[in-house]
Amino acid sequence: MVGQLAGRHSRNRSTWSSLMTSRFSLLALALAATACVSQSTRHDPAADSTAVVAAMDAYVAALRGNDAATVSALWTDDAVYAALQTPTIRGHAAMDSLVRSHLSTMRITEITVRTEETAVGGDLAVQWGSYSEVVQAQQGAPQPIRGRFMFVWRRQADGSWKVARGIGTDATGL
Amino acid sequence: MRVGTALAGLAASALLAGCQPAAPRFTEQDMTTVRGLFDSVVTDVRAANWTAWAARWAEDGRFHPSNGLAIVGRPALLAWAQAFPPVESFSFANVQVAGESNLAHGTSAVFIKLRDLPPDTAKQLVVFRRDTSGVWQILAVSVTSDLPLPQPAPTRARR
Repeated sequence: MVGQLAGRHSRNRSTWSSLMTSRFSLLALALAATACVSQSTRHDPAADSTAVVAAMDAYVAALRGNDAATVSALWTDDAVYAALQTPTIRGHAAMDSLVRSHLSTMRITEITVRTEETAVGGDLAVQWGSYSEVVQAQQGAPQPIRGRFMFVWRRQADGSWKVARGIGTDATGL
Repeated sequence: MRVGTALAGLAASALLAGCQPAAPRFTEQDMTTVRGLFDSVVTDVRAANWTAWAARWAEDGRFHPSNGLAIVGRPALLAWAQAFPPVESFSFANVQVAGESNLAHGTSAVFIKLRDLPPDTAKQLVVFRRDTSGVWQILAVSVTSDLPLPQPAPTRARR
């Protein structure tokens, strides 16, 4: 009897152990599969590039619509913007102030941005190209401006892309 | 059971092996290397060693000079630099670098004095890319000057 019980217990333990091993194996497989999916999702350069281009489209649309809140929201908290002939803008608060100040005193009546390249590496993307715009101040004639830009985008925790570094050059006189 | 475990392990290994290779991390060593490129560029420019300077760029590297047209590709960059007026002084300040995977970026102030021209202060944004052999190269530089924009040449009034 004792032997039978011992044997049954042994069989039960064996079954339990086997079951646990299978569960752990399944868990390990699931984790491995999750890690794999996660990795390939995070580093799909084509999809990331498309997302960055879409973010730039939203940025330009916001400029065209004089939408300071949306323009400002597309910059990261630690944004750095090397503006023409002014001190470097550092941080979101300063960037927000600049954007609101500009868009409250002038209106971009026309804007075209031509992106020449978008390169992605992990959670960073760099994008450059040229722009042309017509700026209408509160007084005076419309002023056409054209130049080049370079943006460094950074993927946010929610998967969206925001501008972390930006610089613009003026080529109006060329 | 052991066979089952071994099979599960094998399957997991195969699954992981089938994944895309993980992107390399941006390490402290990478940070030091990229920061060092700023120093190397200063050395090259001061010595007018344009060949060494151009070699630090990616083959498809591009430079956006302040108020100028883009210069694209290593040969064009070298030709542009070789036509540069003599550099009397050149330095960077407040260099700040960050990176992720195979891309890095840096910002700095730029001070340059060319012969017969007023001293210029500017800001730059530099992007670096790690090539397939693991070497960090300059992918793109954009510079914006703090000097007033050049005025258009005066035109003579017609009589």
